Amino acid sequence: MLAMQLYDIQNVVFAYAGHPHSLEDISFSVLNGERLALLGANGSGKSTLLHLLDGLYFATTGEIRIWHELLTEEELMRTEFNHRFRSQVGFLFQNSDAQLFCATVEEELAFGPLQLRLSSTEIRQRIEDSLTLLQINHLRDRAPQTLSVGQKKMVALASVLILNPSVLLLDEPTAGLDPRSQGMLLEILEELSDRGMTIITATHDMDLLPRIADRALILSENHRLVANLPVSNCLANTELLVSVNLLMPNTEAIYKR
Amino acid sequence: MALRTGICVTLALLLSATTRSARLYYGLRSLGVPALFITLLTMMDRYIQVIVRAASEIHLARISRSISTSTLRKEQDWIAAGMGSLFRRSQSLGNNVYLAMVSRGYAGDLYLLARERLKVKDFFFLIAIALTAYALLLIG
Repeated sequence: MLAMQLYDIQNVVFAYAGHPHSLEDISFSVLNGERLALLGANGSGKSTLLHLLDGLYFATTGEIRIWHELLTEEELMRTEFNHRFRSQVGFLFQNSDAQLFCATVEEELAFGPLQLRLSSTEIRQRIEDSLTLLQINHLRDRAPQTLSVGQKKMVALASVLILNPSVLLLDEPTAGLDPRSQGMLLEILEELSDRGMTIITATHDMDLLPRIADRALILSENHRLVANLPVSNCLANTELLVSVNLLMPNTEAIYKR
Repeated sequence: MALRTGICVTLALLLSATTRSARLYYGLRSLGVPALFITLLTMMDRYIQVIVRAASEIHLARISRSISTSTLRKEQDWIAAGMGSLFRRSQSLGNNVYLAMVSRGYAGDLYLLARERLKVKDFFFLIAIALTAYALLLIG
């Protein structure tokens, strides 16, 4: 069965006000249920692209479509589209401190469903389900500032998953996590992918790549999309990885082994 | 007057030291304080700690690279630069918090968990407090 197209990005250019372009002429598409990695060195535009896919920034020129509908500021001002989009597309920020702004973990989880006007019974049920899914029941009444980095990441993920999204955007999800927390997070992501969730991950961690994605988009340091290929081909193409600053020169042999 | 002020301050400190901030905010909500005000208070409490930690890191980074004591003028320059850096970090964090709120459905109107209603036992407790205060007033 052919997978349906989810995102269609055509000739997108983006620049922050008063700055040179952060993304240059980006075009690609994403299918439902895909596991996609956005690769690039620091400052290549990965996070910016994720913000565009989440309707937080808007393209300077070019267009982004989701479910064949244009993703624009005007469309997101329509309550029906806004609720549908915000409940279906979840974004895990790199900095969990920015994502956890409520007084307790329980309130943090309730925030999204409350804004989307779900009933209180539904919200209570979803809080229980999310806490159980991520095994963080014991953190329910804790204040976010008292949590460890790994716990904050799990709570941030729970605050996104509580909306039951079908698309998950992850910005450097394992950055700063210890190996055990990384392992737990990867297992959860694999489980979500098995359930059919579309997962788009921005990272420059090449060791992580085979576990989080089947296809990779590579952004160069001059903010252009230079490759769109299966992960196995990506890892084999060490010259390309070195040229975009994803692999140190003279370490290609390790990846070729 | 000084005694009363002292008792008030002591009670306020005792309350904040023995009650979790989340419970204090629930209490304020039950007393009818607007949700937006409580949210601002919560965020202030939440992020002041993040900013203090950032300031502490800036300070540690500075002393880890300092060899000799510097002049007052240089110290003033450093404090001004540190404040500027902290302001930029706070601004960036503030923007990201806003984007995180929008990403989870915030569109200008804020909705929070339903506030807890005052229960019968709360009214009894309030009456008991009032009676005790009145009795103390009569004795005093």
